[in-house]
Amino acid sequence: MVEIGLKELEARIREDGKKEVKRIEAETKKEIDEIKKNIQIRADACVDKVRRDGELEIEMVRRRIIAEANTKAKELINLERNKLIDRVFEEAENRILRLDDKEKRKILENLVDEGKKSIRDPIILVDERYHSLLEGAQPSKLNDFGVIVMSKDKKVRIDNTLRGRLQQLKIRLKPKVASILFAENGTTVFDR
Amino acid sequence: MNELERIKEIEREVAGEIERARRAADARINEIKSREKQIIQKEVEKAKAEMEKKVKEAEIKAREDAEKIIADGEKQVMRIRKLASKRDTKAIELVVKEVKGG
Repeated sequence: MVEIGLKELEARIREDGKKEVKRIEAETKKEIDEIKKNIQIRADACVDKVRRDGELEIEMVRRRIIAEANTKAKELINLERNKLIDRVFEEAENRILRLDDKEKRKILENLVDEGKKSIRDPIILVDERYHSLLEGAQPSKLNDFGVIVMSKDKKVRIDNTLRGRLQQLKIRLKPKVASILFAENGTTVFDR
Repeated sequence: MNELERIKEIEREVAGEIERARRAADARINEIKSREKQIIQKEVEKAKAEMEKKVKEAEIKAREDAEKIIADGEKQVMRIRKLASKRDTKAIELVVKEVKGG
């Protein structure tokens, strides 16, 4: 009886040992699974951040490239618009310079009259080439058509040369010239 | 060996097995914990590579779209040039008239 009892005890001790080892292994597996799960959660969070940052970068890259293209396209159009407007004023200058003497005289007289509205009894300067067209004007090297209207004390000076006039007119007439050149259905190409 | 000593020997043997199992478990747990940074880093690197690829693809697509925008701008330039060529006489006349009018 004693012999059988000891064998049973031995078997029980071994069996309990095996159960404990199995329990430890099962606990370990559970703990490792939990650790892996937590690692995956942290990894997913990091990956999500990388993806969010990436999506943001994609959006920014796209916006930058498209904005640059839009700016370049607008610049191209504005450059051409300004070039065409400038050409109108250049051609207007050429046409005036090609007018006959009678018409040129009339323009010179108008430019003088306009200057006289601001300066009483002024000195009138006209380029040597056009001196013969304007009585009472002093010949000068203006190198331009038109006149300079100046007060006797030379303190007040009005530039009514052709280039000066065209510059002034360009400021005032640019929208109107643009409208004539580019208007489509009541709006200019650039209003859109 | 008497019976009592034999039982004690078996108990020591089993206790050793349990201790080995505990140590193995601790080693496995420590090993997985020590690899945490590496595992996360690997996933992050993979995601970064994916995103870099997507950014490059998006950049290529955006540049294609940008080319279309510029081409459209160039078309508009041609259109306004054509439009202006038909109307410049009227505009020139306006400027000449203003200069003449003083």
